[in-house]
Amino acid sequence: MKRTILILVILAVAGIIVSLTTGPLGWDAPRQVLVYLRLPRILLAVTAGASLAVSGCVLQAVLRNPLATPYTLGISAGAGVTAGFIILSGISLPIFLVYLSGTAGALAASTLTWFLAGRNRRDHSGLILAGVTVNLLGASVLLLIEYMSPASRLVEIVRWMMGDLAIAGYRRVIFLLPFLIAGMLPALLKTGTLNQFLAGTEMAESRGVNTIRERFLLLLAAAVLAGGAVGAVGPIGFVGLIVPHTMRRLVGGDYRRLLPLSALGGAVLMLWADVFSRVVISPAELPIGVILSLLGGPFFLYLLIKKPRL
Amino acid sequence: MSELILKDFSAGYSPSIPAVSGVSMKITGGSVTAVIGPNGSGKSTLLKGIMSFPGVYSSGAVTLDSFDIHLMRRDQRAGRIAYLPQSPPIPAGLTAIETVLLGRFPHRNAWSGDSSEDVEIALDALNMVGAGHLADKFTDEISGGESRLVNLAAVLSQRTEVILLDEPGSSLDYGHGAQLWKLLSDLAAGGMIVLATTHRIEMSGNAFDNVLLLSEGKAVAAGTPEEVFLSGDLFSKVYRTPVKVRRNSPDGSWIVFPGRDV
Repeated sequence: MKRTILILVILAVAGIIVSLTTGPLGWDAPRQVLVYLRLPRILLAVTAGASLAVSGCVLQAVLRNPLATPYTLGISAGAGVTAGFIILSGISLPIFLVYLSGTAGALAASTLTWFLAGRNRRDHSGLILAGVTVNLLGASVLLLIEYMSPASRLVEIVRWMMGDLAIAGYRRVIFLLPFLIAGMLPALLKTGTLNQFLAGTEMAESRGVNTIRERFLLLLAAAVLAGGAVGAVGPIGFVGLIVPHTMRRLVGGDYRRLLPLSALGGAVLMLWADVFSRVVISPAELPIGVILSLLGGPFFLYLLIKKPRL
Repeated sequence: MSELILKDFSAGYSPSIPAVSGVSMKITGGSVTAVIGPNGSGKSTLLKGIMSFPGVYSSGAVTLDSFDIHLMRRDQRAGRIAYLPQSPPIPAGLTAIETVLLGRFPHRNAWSGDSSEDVEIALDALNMVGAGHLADKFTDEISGGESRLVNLAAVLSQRTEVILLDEPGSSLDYGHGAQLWKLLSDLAAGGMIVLATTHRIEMSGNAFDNVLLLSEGKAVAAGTPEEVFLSGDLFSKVYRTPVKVRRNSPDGSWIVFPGRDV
């Protein structure tokens, strides 16, 4: 446990240093490059990574499914539809509204999932099935939007779906911050409740957990975290799956340890994925979503084969 | 002594069709009460109804020391009544001791760590069920019966005056099964109310103080084991097969002969 924290902190510090000193202009880039390009990018990677990892971590307990990710509730599809629609329509919106529309789509999709699950939302599998349905629906609508888009807009939509951390200034970080706080606080304060969900609804109820209310609040926290992150950086996958599972192997399944360490792990993974995305074909960049999916695919396979603990 | 009273109590999964209905009984502290009956007779639903789980509808009254259990706040109830489901999911990624410590949840806030007192109580509970040696094993690496013992220890670590157990002895071998009923009997002797469903009368020795026999959602007999077990061919009728129950004279334990007329 202590060793894991130490390694993560070293990786985080190293990641920050490497990220600050890496780029087309090298390590002696002008101060403005550091302050307005590299530092906000680091902050964005750290906050988005932590948000996505914690969101997945929460969902895996509440839905009692090791394969649950922030996108199980239909979040990426929802964000994709609104972003796709805005790009297709060519409306020019203030930048904050652009971010917000992604988040709004994500939250609308998870609300739809909640209502579609209906009476079955008492049961985790009802929610998962509703989420899968919303995801498929969203994906089809997005395909339709892409089909109707002229080539230039289509490229833009596809590019948005890959996720991106390239920013100048702190706007995206400032946008993400309230979602991070609103989602992270309840998650951190309810780690003991998350543990109770591992033992099933009846055990949790018998120990005083109002499972219907707590499930709703925790799903909301997870949706807010992932929705905020998706609005700011696009639907970057696999962080919410890879990080909680890796942490579970390292520090066990007790959410009082697992959740804060997943936040740290998510930040570290995103930080390094960003460094790689900038280095591999420098001075050009690879989309961070592609790097993470290339990493995430094999890891997913490993999960299926080795069946590590939930 | 605590007193658990059910009055004309019904429970089920839809408001109009109760799975078990019209149950009235009074259980005092210091006794083990067994709920028996064929599959689907409403034993589990009765316990779930007492706990008023989401999705379970109930009517009638259920009181503990004249407080309506269904009007208690969940956390207050959790301090007084603990419950063991028939087949709870295995909380994977946790060790046995961590699983038992989950039972301490009602006694602290939602994020704090385990106090040394919590750990002591949990270890004590694991030792009581004879599973102390499993403490550091992961729950997904132990057997079904061992996992049953760990969950039972979690229920005991909640330190309540009432425990409701849904087939606590399922998947336990002869040794652990006999130990379980001895333990429940000892706990009752200390003043607890133990209400447990079971199919295995013969595993219990003579641990039961009271028996409630359910059939098709109705209480068909209630009373001491002698009154229920030795009342003519009631068992054969309820189980729709010849079932005889006899008492073993040396120690008073019960022996069941299912499917045979002896």
